[in-house]
Amino acid sequence: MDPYKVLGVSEDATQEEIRAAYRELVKKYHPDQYANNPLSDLAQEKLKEINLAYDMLADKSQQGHGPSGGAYGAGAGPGMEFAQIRDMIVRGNIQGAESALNAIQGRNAEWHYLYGVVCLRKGWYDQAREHMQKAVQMEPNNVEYRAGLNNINSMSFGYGRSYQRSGMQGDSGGLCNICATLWCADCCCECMGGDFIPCC
Amino acid sequence: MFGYVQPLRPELRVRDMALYRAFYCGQCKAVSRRYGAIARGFLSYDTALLGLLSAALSVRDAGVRNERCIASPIKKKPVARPCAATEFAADANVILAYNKLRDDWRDERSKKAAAGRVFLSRAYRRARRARPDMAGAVETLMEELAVLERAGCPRMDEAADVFARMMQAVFAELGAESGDARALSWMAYNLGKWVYLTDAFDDLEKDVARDGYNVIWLQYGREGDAAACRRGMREAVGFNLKTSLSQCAAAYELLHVRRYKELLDNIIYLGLMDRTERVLKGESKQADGSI
Repeated sequence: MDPYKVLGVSEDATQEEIRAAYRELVKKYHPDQYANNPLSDLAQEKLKEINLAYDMLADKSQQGHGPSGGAYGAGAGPGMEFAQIRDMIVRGNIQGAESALNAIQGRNAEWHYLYGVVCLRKGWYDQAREHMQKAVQMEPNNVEYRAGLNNINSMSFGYGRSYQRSGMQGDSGGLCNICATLWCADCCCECMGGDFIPCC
Repeated sequence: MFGYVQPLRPELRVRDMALYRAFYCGQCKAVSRRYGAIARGFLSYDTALLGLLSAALSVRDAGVRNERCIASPIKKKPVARPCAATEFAADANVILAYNKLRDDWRDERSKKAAAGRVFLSRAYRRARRARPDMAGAVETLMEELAVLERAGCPRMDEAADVFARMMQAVFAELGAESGDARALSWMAYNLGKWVYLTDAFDDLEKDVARDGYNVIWLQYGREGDAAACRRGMREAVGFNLKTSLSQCAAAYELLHVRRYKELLDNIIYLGLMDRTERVLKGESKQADGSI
């Protein structure tokens, strides 16, 4: 493994640059970014590699912060079945969890919450959100369900950031429009014999 | 197929634009070489990404060289050299284009689709021989989608799921040597889901007017008109599109991309997001501009 390549820095990078690159990568592959993502284990691998590379390059006086596990909260419900289903979800047996949930008759808040998690793992985001909302509606004070719903709603936040930075999204035009307006104003002034911006 | 997957050009560096063009041209030349000149008429931007991704993941880089072509007979332009990646893109292009035409013919009885199918049928037979698994899966899943649409499925997750699995089948033959199969599969699922829902929201008015199948219209409950549906469903569709893209990007970040990262980043983070914003505002209407 080439630690410089893993961190995406050149071989003459300063400690400052290495730390910045490391921080950026940890943010990108942090377990929170991959919560409820079927690839979370791959992301953890990647994070391990990044931590290792950072350890190799960083001064020993600097401390890297390792990844923390992103497991589900332990069973809050009393039902034995739900505990088993949670277990299946953690182990990645989503199909098994889904059919177990479908077999259950009484559909309380926990049922909707777990069904929401299953939908999320399948990539059925619309139904995932619907079930999470229902769980929160039925038990508004449950912290776990509220966190689940928040998590779904905020999944796409990080993604859109680079697009927003690119400045393509607004119809206001930003800086370009301001410049164009100034230039137009200057032209008008010059037509009338004055000069708004002397240099052009 | 739909032409939704493209880079955001104003943010593209000149050399990345040349690279993108080179892969589009490389795919075009591969189609012509493998399937004859007629099949060139069914070229798609979406499959250009497949070629690019495949080349980005492969160990050896075939590179780009300057060539002439029909569209530019005098001035030489950069074209991706013939390699497994351009052939893969060409095969996927023919398979997806033909199945789309067959679906359009069945759905809309469109004359254009019928004629296109006739032109492409020879090429499709050849593509089917080259990639029996991909062609078989695409046929089966298109059939499954048609059944679901005839039954009037009113849940966007369920309808998009079939299309997303089709995209997985196409991606399954990509980057076999890279060991990225799982990440590619999740990326494909989410990209497929995004393409399907983007297309459904983009075509809302058209589908409602001709009384065709549109999952967003059905989920909305078919009350009022298309404009009311657009307003009512914008938030939900936006949530689904952006969540799919965020997952697509998360999977993309786990791939072992060896080259062309800037161009791929542009497509994944800017091109797809820009299309999403435009479709949500109702100002997209499919592929625009030639390259």
